[in-house]
Amino acid sequence: MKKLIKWQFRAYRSGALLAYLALFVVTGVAAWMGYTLLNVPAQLAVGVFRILLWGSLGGILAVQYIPYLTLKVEGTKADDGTLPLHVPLSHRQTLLAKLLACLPLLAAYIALNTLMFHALPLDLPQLAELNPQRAAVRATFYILGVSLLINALVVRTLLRGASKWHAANFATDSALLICYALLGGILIGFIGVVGLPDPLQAALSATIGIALTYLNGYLLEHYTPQLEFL
Amino acid sequence: MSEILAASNLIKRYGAVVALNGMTCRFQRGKIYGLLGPNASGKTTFMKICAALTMLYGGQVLIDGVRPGLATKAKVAYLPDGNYFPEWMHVGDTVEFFSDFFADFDRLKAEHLLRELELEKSKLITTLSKGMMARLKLAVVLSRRAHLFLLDEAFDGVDPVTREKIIDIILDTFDSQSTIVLATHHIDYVDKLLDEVKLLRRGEIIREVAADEIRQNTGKSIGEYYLEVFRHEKAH
Repeated sequence: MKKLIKWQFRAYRSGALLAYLALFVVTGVAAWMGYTLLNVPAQLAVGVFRILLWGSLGGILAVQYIPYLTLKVEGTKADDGTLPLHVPLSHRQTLLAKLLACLPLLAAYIALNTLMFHALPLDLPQLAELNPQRAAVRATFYILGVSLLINALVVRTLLRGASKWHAANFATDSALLICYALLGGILIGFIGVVGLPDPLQAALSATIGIALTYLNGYLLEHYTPQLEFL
Repeated sequence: MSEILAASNLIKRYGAVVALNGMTCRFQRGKIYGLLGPNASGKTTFMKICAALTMLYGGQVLIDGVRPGLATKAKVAYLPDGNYFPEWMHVGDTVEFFSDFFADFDRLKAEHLLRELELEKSKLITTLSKGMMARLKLAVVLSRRAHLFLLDEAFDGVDPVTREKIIDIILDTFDSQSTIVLATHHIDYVDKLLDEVKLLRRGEIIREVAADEIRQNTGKSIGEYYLEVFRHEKAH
C-alpha cells in the first residue's frame, strides 16, 4: 500500500496535474491580489476564486482517475497510461491509494479558504472559517463525492459498448450525469441537513464513501471490460 | 511438458464485431509460440484476456489452472502494442515501478538490458522515439522471471540491428520453465525464435503447427508458409 501511495504522489509530476495545481495556486493569489490591489469587489473575488478552485480540483481528479479507468479519451491510444492496470494489486487498494493521494489537495483547499477568510471582509456569506470539525466534514464529503464520481465512471465503463450509436451513448452519459448529480446532491444534502452533529456527519459520509470505494474496486475487478478496444 | 495456458471456446464480441469466435488452444511450458494472423484476427484481444485486462468474455481461459485475474498478473508479463507508461515517467521510473510491484522483477537484468539497448535512465518517456519506446518496453518486460510472456507486436519500430540483439537476448535468457507467445506481423524477424505457430483468422485458430515441421516438411520459412495459408484461405 505504501508503494501504491508513493506512485500516486509521483503522478503529480504529470504536466496536466501540474497545470491544474498551478491554476489552483494562481487562483488564490489572483483573488487576493484582485481584492487588495485592484479593488475588485470582495464578493466577485470570492465567487471567481470558488469557481476556478473547484474547476482545478475537478481537473486534477479527472487526470488522476480517467486513464486508470481507461475511458477512451479523444486523441489517446487504448493503452496510454494504463500501466497500473497491469500490476497484481486489487483495484480496491489502488482506488483507496488514489483517494489518499487526493487528500492533501483538500487540505490545501481548506488552507486557502482559511487564508481568504482572513484576507477578505468577514461578512461575506460564501466564506466562512472552517473549524476542525467542519473541515473534517468537508473532507469526508469530498471522499463521498469522489467515490460517487468513480462509481459513475465505473457504471459508464460497464455500459460502454452497449450501443455503437453515439447518440445512444451520449444519452446514457447525460442520464448518468443527471442521476449521479442528483444522487450526490441528495445524499450530501441529506447528511448535511438532517441535523446530525459534525463528528457523526463525518463518520457517516466517510463510511459510505469508503464502502462505495470498495464496491467500485469490486465492480472493476469482476464486471468492467477494462481495456476494451480492438 | 506441462501446460501453462489453455483456452477453450473463447468468445469475445465488441458490439456487433466478433473478435474471438470460439478460439480453443493450448500452450506448453518451455516453448516460444508465434500467434500469427492478419489485422483484426483477435491476437490482441486474446492477449488482453490472458493478461486479465479484459474481463468480460465467453468460454474459459486458464493460466496454470487459474482464471486470469490478480493472481495471474503476478505470473504473466504482458507487453502491449501501445505505450502504457504515464507521460511523466522517466526511463528510470519504469524500472523502479516494475521493481516495486512485480516480485519476479530482476533489477540487475533490467540495468543490464538498459545498457545493452542504449537507454538512458534520465530520459523522459515522451522524448523517446517509437523504436526507443519498443526497446524500453522489452527491457522491463523481459526483466521479469514470469511464467508466461505475452509480447504483442514487440518488434514494431525496432531497427534491424537492435532486433537481432533483442532476439539474441531472448534466446540467451529464455528459461525452459517459461513460455513466450509472440503476436507479430513481422514473421521473418522471429522465424528463428519460434517452436510452434498458431494461425488465427477471424477469432478462430485455423492451424497449429510445429515450426520445425514447417521447415522440414515444406522447406519454407514460417513467413512463406503463413502467406501460402492465408492466400489459400482468401481464395476460398
